[in-house]
Amino acid sequence: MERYIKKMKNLRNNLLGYTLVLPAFLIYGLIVLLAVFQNFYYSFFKFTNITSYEFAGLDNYINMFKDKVFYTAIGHNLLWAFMIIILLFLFLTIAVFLSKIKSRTILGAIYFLPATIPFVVSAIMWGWIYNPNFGILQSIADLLKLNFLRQQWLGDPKLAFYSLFLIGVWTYFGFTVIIFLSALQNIDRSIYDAARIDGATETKIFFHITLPAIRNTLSFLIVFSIIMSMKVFDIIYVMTQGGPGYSTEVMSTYIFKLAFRGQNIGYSSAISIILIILVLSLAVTVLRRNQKE
Amino acid sequence: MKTFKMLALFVIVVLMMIMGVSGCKDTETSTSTAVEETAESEESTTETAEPEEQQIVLKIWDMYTDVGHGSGGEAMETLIDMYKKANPNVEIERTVIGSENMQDQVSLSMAGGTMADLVETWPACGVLSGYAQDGEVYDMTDKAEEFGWFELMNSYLMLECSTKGRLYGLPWEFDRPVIYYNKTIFEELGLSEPNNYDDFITILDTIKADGKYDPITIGNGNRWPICNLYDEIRAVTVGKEKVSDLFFGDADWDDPEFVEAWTILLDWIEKGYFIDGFNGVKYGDSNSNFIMKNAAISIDGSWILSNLVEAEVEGEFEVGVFPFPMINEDLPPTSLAGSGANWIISSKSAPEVQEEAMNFLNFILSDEAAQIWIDGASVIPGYSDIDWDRFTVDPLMAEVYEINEGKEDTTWSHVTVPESVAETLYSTFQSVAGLTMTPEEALNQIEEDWEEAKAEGRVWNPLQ
Repeated sequence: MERYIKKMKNLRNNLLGYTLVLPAFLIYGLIVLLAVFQNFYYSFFKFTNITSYEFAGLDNYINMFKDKVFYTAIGHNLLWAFMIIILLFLFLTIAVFLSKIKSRTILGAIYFLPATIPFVVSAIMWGWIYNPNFGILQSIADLLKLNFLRQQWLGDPKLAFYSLFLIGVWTYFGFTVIIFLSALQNIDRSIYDAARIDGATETKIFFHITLPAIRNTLSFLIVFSIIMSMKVFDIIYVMTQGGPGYSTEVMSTYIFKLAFRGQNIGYSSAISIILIILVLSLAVTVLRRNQKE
Repeated sequence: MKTFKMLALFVIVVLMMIMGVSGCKDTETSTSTAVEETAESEESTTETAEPEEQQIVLKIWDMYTDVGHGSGGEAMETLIDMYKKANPNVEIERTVIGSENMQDQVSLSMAGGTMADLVETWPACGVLSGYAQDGEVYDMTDKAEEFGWFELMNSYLMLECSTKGRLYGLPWEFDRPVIYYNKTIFEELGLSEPNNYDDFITILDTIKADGKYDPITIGNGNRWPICNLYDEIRAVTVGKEKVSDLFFGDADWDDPEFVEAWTILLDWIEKGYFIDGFNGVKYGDSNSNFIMKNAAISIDGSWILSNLVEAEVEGEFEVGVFPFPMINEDLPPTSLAGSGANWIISSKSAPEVQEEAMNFLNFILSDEAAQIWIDGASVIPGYSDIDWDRFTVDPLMAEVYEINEGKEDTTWSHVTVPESVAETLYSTFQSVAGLTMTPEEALNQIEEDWEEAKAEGRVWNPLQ
């Protein structure tokens, strides 16, 4: 009874907050949640065309586990996420160095520039850079006799994925550095001074002061990077459409092609549901781990 | 207590806002109602005086922009203005949608019931057949007979726009395959147009051995160009009958003769006839490569004529054309023909709007309108016999069609099969071109999807 009264009291105290949040929640529910539920509903149907479908039970989910392209796509997403998380630590190191120099604001702004360019524009621009016949890389290779730059960056199935990843990094790098920089600038300088007086080395300062102090920022960027990696689409679709073959296929491009090119809405909905579950579980795991720490 | 006061204040503010909005709406409604009433009374007065034609609003979507590939935007605007002038009761609202997005736009708008009345889209065959089977597109057959379209238009293209004996689209862009070559480069290397396939291979070997130019430019980053090239090699290797047997009979995709066509293409790839990294180069960049004189040959189609005519006019270089030589010379000369773009009418539009849409289509097929269209867009509508005395055209354009005349016509696979099969076709063929999959594996996968589509009745069936 006491607990119930306490709950009610809490609810009464937070009523204004809930009321203020309600309109936004209703709009979110209408735009996002409704679409997710509709997607979930469609995942149990087989579409023969975009407007004709019949109930198929769990067929779409069962077929997914037999689909080699699905595994390839999900593997690429996970690889993208893994590589970007590893690189986050490199970006953090760069941000730490930047935080120690005077021209950090200018450099930060320069690094951030690619993030201001729309993905589609970046993709078209990089398409020309990579072009093996008249691209800039080709010209540099010819000028400096750097034969290793003479590659089929987007045409070679072994290289295409990493070529696209490099563009992803180029667009993302500045954003993460700026976030890290602002977090680093919030750390009280006196803690560093005290550590140095106590004889701590720069490495120890990094691991025992800097890293714990920006833990929340790091964890946000890890979750954000996972989400971005799982929904990467624009760059890949504009540049390779998932090709050559399936060598750059990711979940979003596969879902798009199934839904809007193959008219297979049911199956693409089922994959979307798995994508949502995957993103949510990865994000929740990271956030929970962070909370525990 | 403070919370409750704030909450009460918030609720009052929200209520006031809602009342305000409703009030405005009421005023608007009443004002518009009054205006409508006045208009109605004016209309009835006019009706009594002189009966007026019904006002019709025709919503059109097409793929013609003002610049670059498919630059028929200005010509389309002219045709619309001409039609509106001749029919003052018709208002035409035109929206331009890029060709890459048109298919998605049509599918989604059909699902949402919001498609425009008249749409110029692609492809025909399997995809249009799907729209027809779902009852999404207007049956043009009766009106087309009345207008004489079946005599006026190319019968093969009309079949591409038909399903089970009924016509659902008007072929508006007559696509033909063609081999373009740079005359200056040919002269420089002492080459002339080939008379047969062996000559053609000798030309490619000569250009390759010289090393100054790439023999063939092709950009398969968009995934369909290699499908087109395979179809062209297949047509001149196995002939029309065998290809027809694949689409309408019992032949399988992984038939040894079809595998053989891929082996020829693979041989070209392995010999290095194509530009570097062709499998990742975009179609547009590949065309630029040809216009920039980096490659001697471009195996493409009539759809790129506007760009090449423009480059020729600007004096950049002189383009020559020759047909794809027959590989199997025992077969009758074979080529490909396709409706690159076709007009469809929404089945959801009002009958009077559908009728007006048909009238508009009949108007743009008239000689006067077609001449404006051909001049402005460098696109030939799907006429049965292209009478070159009837229209004034660029000589290069006439040549592209003349070199294919009188041949047996077959079609391009990726615009013939349903979209789900086309997706498999794109990805597997790109893998074969990238040497990461064998032709047998690719054709086998396509066969599986094709059989599934056949079982579900989703394949193009023009006659039954």
